[in-house]
Amino acid sequence: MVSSTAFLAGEYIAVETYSLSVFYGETQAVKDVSLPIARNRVTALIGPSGCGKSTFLRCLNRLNDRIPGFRMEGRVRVLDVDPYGKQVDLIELRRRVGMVFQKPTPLPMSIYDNVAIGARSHYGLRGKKLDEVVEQALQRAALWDEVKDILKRPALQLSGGQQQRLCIARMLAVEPEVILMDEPCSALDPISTFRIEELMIDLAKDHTVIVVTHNMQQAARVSDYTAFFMYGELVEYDSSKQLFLSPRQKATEDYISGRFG
Amino acid sequence: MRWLGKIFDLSVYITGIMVSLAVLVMFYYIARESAYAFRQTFCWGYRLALLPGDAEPSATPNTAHYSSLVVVNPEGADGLDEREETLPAPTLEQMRSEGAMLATATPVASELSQVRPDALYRDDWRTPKPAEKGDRFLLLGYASPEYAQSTMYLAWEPDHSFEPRLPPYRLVLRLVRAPEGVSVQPFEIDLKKQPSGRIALPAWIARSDAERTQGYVFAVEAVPQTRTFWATLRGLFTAEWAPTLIYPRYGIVPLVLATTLMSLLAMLFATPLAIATAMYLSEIASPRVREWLKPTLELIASVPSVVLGYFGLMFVAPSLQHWLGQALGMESGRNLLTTSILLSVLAIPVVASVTEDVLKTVPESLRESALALGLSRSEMLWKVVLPAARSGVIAAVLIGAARVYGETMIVWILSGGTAVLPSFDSPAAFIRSLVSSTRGIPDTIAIEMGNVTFESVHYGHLFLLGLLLFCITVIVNLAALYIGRRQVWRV
Amino acid sequence: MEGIGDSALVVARSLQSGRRLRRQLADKLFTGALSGIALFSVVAVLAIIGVIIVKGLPIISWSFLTSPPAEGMTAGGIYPMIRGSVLLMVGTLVIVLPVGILGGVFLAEYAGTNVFSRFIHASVASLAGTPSVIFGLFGLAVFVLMMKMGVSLLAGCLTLALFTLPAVVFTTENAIRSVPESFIEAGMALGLSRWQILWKIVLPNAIPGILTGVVLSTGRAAGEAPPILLTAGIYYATGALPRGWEILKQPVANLPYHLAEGYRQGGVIPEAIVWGTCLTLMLFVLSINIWAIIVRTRVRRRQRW
Repeated sequence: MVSSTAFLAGEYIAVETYSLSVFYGETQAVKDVSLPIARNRVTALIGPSGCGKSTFLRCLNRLNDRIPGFRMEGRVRVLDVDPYGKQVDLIELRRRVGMVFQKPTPLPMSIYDNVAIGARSHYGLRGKKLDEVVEQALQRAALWDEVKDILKRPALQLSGGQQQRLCIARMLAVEPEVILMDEPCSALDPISTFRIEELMIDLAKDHTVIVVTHNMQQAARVSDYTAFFMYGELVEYDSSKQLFLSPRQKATEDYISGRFG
Repeated sequence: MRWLGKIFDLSVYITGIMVSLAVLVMFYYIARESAYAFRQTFCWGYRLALLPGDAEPSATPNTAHYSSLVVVNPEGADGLDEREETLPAPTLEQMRSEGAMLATATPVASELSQVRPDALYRDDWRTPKPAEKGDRFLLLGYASPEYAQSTMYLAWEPDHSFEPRLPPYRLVLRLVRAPEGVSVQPFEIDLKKQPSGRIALPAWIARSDAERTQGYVFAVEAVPQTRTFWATLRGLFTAEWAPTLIYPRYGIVPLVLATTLMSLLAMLFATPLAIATAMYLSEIASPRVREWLKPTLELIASVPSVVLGYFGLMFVAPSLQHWLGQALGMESGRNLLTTSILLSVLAIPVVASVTEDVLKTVPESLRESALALGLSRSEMLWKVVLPAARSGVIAAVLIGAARVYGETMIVWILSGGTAVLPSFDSPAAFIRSLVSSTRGIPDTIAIEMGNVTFESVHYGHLFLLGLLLFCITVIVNLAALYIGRRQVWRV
Repeated sequence: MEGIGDSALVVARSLQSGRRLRRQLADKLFTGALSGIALFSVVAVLAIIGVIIVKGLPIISWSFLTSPPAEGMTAGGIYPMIRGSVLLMVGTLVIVLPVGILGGVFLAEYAGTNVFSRFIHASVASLAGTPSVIFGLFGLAVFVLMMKMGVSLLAGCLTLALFTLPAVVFTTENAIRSVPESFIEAGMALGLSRWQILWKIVLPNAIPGILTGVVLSTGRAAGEAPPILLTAGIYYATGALPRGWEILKQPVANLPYHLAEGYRQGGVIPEAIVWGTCLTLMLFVLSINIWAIIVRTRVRRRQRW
């Protein structure tokens, strides 16, 4: 249904799908979606619950593999790599494509170890260098000042918003290039939400950010481009300004004006 | 209809309370029966003899002629059958003809004024009495006229297998009366501090058989010192379990050590295997494999332990003996090591099954975030899933350990059955005790309860062992329950 | 990459590709080792079952299973022991079923969630982990000696029932708790009283789970020697059984006792008969379990609520 992607002119395309379809057993969660995504921009995926946004997102780092009955058709390209190709190195793919989940998922270990675990595994860092990476990641996630004195405490003692920023720091410590965010603010209070939104804009300076959200104001505030999904199909894809001010599709208009969804 | 509901409610309440109190009731009755252990009367026995002054210092009383055995053994001394004839004290004539010249004799009467020369006996084994009363045993000592030396020795030592430190009395050897015309310092010897020894005395010669009662009079006395309760308790912490001896020993240390050692060893074998199996089942196996493997695991867990024991006896023990017997110096395939191997077979399905349940409760979100960070599956399992499930896994291992600790039949059949203290002196000695015959708590209870007199001291001690086993397993199980309840993640 | 950790990461990056290979190798090794160990432990334990079957099968015949021992245990069959084990199991079931189910109902529906119910849980859990020989001691002290039942079938059944009780209570509790709350709410909406809800809604839905659980745990109990060693066993058994209730007052020969006591007597029973008895006991317990597991799987598949 998306006719043209002319609005992407001049952008470098970091992530792209060609007629991607995803099935869970009998049900089709994503239907024939072709979606190019611009590098170092925030792209928002919006739409009603169960419309395939999260499924789409999870195709990009192959986190869907673990779900029984998963099957996909079409092609995906992430940073010049086909995630479903034969030669793909999953570890490297997932290092380059970071992900933040809806519910903060701190690992059951200390704050420091939460951030360090990735850098340790990927780069074998330890000692002073590791400290440095952890500090920089936490600073980038705007969490350093709050936790610098309690790094050895269990991460589960942090508040929800802090936990979510910790998850972002944890992801940043492995130097991803693409950041997938699956409704990162839906479990947070407004102040925490605001801080994460600021962070998204900041991260988009040097990362490709793809964010799934239910919150249309959020999408309008932070994203450069927005894709609207419904029933697994991509209904409309445009620059956020265009899509929110003058949607072309009737369904989009109904959705963003709150008539359903 | 309403009254039916009332009755149902009532019966549910009554049954529920009964069920919840069952463990306390069991504890009460087992503790009550173990009280019989504390009705112990402690037997004691000493051999005393007069030795000639030129006897070499190593000569022991029981090789000397006419030594006396002073025994208190209310249980009736098993194995003393051969002494059941009355042995009168030797006449001077007899002593001369047998080449002995010194004797101790026991009078039948305990009042010195009533002692008659024709009522002297060699031993006092025939009049067993409860020793708590502080009974006194008199001994008369004399020498035949041929005995020319001017000195002789009174020598004493504990009866064979009697341990002087165990009874709750002070045991004293005293000189009650010195013969007329002999000047000798009165002495009193604490037999517990000095269980064996000798003391020099001037020889006293009996010129006629009638004069035998005029000689030295020694006494062995038992003076109550500590309560029987404490003595029984202290007796538990000794290193010998030999309840059928004339002087029974109820030291549970070797049994407890053996059971602990074999359980530790079994868990050492079983834990890695079980955890790996559980991790394979919950994280790696495909759903189809899992569907088959999980019930198989449950089936294996239900193989009766007596069958496992027999399998060990008829299959594992001979093969171990064949392959390792030479290298490790095994005397038999029935030993601590074989027992541990079979116990670990018992533990694997239990631990694996519980661990698998625990791993399943680790939220999928933790796995996903670990994978999304680019950790490999093994890194995810090691660094995230296992630490997250840590307390549950510990609980699973504890449950398995409790099961192994109380297992009876495998240990009964395979341990070999001798209660000896494992040696911790050197690694080699330790390994030797691992491959030698042993005996644990549960099997001791099951084996000996079949031959015991009900409500005897031995019976009480078996219940005491049961009480200990009960307490240990309850503590371990409660620890598992408590630890397992702690979750490191927040749901 | 003007991101973070410039100094540290630049160095680390260069090492990364070698690391990646190592990590992938480690991953493969780890997965392989896990599968290998799992395979080993399953195969090892299955091998035990296999050996017992292979060694025991030759002697098993119809007459072995249906005739009493002969010539001082050195020949003949094991019929009285099989019969005794069945009697013990049936008696245990009869006792434990009502008590255990009511106890489970109490735990699931009446005890609530407070300090008291946590105490009950802890106490039943510690009973569940108590070694079987302790139950034997208790049975000996209370049933055999104090209640003067003597070594008898009744004392054995009571002891085994106590041994199985915690498992039955927990199974019942779980089965009742797994009945969806919506069923109960529906019953409440209809104005049913608590026991009517239990009787008409909860128990009918929970009963398959309860029964299979009960059979599983009595199956395990049927293979345990220590509880009946001191309370119900007898070594020399003839073919005849007393009539009527008298049977409860007599000791019974049974399979685990036969093996245990046979060992105590020291090698009187020929090895072939021992293997055969082992196999029979194992099949006795396993067949009960297999049956229960199959039924449980079926029930679980059917109950898709």
